[in-house]
Amino acid sequence: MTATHPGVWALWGVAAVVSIQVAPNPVYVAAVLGSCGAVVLARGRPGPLARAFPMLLVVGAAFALIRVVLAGLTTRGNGPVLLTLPSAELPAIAGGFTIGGAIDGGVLARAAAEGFVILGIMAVCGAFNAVVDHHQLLRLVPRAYAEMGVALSVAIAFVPEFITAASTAAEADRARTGGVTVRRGRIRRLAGPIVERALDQAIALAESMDSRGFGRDPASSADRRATAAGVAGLLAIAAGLAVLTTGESAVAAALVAVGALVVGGGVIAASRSSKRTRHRVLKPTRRDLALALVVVAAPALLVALGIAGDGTLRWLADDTRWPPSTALPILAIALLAAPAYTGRAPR
Amino acid sequence: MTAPRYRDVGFAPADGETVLDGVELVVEPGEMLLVAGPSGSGKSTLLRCVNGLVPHASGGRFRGEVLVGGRSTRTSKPREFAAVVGFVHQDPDAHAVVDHVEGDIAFALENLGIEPTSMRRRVEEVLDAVGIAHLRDRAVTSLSGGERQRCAIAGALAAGPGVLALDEPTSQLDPQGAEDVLSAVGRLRDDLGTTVLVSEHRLERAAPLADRAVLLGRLPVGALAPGAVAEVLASYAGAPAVTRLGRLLGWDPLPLTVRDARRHPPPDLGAPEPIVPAAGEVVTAASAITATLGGRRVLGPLSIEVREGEIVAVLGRNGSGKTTLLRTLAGLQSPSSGALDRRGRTAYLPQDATTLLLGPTVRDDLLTTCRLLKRDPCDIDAYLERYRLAALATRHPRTLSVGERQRAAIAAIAAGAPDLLLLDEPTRGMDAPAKAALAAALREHATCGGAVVLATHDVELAAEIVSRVVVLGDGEVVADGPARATLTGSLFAPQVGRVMPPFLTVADVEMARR
Repeated sequence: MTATHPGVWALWGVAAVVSIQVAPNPVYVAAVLGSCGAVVLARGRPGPLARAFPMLLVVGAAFALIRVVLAGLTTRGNGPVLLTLPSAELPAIAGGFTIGGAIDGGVLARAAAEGFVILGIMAVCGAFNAVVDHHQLLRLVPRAYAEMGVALSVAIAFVPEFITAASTAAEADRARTGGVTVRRGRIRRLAGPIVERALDQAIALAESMDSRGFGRDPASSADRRATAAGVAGLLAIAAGLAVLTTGESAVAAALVAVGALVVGGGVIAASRSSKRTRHRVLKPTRRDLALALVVVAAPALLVALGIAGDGTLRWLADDTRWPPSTALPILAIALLAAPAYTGRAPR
Repeated sequence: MTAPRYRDVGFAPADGETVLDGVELVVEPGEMLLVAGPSGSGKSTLLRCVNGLVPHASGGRFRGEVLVGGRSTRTSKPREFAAVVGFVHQDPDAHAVVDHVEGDIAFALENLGIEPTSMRRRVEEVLDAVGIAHLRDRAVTSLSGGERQRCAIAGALAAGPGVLALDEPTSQLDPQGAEDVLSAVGRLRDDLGTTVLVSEHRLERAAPLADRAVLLGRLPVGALAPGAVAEVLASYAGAPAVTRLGRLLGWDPLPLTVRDARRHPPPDLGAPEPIVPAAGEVVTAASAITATLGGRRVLGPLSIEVREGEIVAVLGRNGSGKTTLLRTLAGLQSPSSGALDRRGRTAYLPQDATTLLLGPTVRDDLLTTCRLLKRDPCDIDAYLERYRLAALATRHPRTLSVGERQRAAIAAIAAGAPDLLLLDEPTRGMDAPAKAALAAALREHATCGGAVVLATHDVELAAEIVSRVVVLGDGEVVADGPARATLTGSLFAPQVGRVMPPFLTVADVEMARR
């Protein structure tokens, strides 16, 4: 079984996030979470980045929890009162609102639902990082930006290196005292060696890149023209977005369209003039194309259901009832789990 | 075939003393030239001049030039030499740009703008040339040291350079990794006619492979005259043990390998002086301990006792559990079963010892340990003396050589006055004088009633200083006994032990001749 094209994974990530945005009902978000889990279980890559999924899940859960606690303590609603805590009023300088008091069930439910959406988006990010081959992904950037891609590639490799350096330093710190951990001033003792090692490695890496011909072609006049075009295009897009706020949507659309065209042209021109070549850029296979269609179908179906009048997609929690759901959106979201069944994890 | 030519090369780093002065050197096309010499003799600098890393990346004061393939380092930068010279750094961790074996090898080719079709072929050929085709899809960070170094060589080789410069390519590797790397390099010279410049400390393997050698002294000046390897190394303290043995016994020609040495009839010297086993108090005793790593048993069940006054070497291949044994004895990892009786204090030197050194001076590092252990630092100077650091006490650890840094790290852990010193690979990257200084310090520690356990691949060092040898295999004790009995006749035997057993070291033979 061959690897899935990184472009398909990127599409999968976008489709999953859009699905969450279109159907933020907690039941449907849970379905997206389930799909993510299935995909990571089946297709997770070996290596330290595989831990991205559980790590981001924890981060997302922490965010959601903080949101629920803060909202519960500070927001009044008109839902059922769950319990009443002693309350305190903050001084005007700190905002002047009341903390504690009656805890509203509806407020808690809404905060929990919103927190769950954050958790869902974090899970998608984690899953994407756990399954995609970052190296192949970076090869998809236009040739003109290849050197930027290399910089990103180096940055990604830095994460596992850093984890290793940190654990080595922590071990050395305990080793010095024969297994006794001295907590006082520990961070300071560890930081020095870690930073030094990172700097040493950065210098060695720069030399290695230099010795292997990185950046040997000076910028040509075509490069400079392409850069100018890129900047002009981006300015046009920005101007278009600014105009949008005044309500002149036709002018705005025109500006954005022209800007996008100019940027695209610049990228293509710069890529043509680049002398760099690529080693084995993965071409999408038929299986990849089919998978892309299936994956994109999930948010498309959700949007269609929304237009058809499915009221369960968005759920405005105002009490502690279980959110309503129907089978069709869940089936649509289940399409996001398709990559789990089209390939085996590389081991 | 291309080969570098050094013309009046002089170099001094921005904040240091002159390293090279007016060096002239002509390397023959297609040869493997071995650059030997003690730490700080300018081996790295000499190699880094080949593609202009010195002076373009290093800064400092530079004069002269190196000519390779019609280019001069005076006018061309390292990146412009990418197609002519491949350069490999001594630390394999620092080499990979892309965390994917094939992608990293293709890196230079992409920079040079090689056509995708011929790029594919070149990557394929290079993978085979260094024997890592089976690793092509792995992440570089997941490889062992030897595999990483071979990947780095493949990356340097991909662009098809006529010259390959390897700066101590095996100093960070275990013997198997070193063997793999050096034999791959030898094959490149033989099959592709690549001119190879290699600097090395461990000459046992590199010396027999090289065509010629050049020995750098403290400050290389003027024309360097490379010559036949055995002749050049004849007077060098870091020469392979058999070469030093040949020198002692007046053999001609001087041997470079055990095989060469066996051609000479060994003198009849009787039996070597017996090593009296130390019989002090037990410092640490482990009985039937096991240890696991990530749910997998990597150690035991094994029992071991360490006594005062003993120096014990733990030998064994990579992954045989040496580090785990030391970490368990040090209390950094608790045994999953069995009884561990640690009397007195232990200190452990991890493999990457420089992470222990916090600076700003060597002396401060010893004081830090005392502070952490709440110990009175009144005898600091005695420790500095014992580890031959008195003259270096006010230097910043980063300005020291590898050997000195390693010694400073050992002194830093020893300053806590542990009874048991546990050292994991203490001689990595050390030259001969540095090893001798370490050996003397460890003997002193043992004589003063301490005990030392060192995990090492360096059998020659083990034969020099240890009283007892423990051989591990798959986490179990395969052999445990007095050094001479355990090492004689084993495949682990030091070079002298294979030529004229039961003698193990040149010092043994020297003693018996008196």
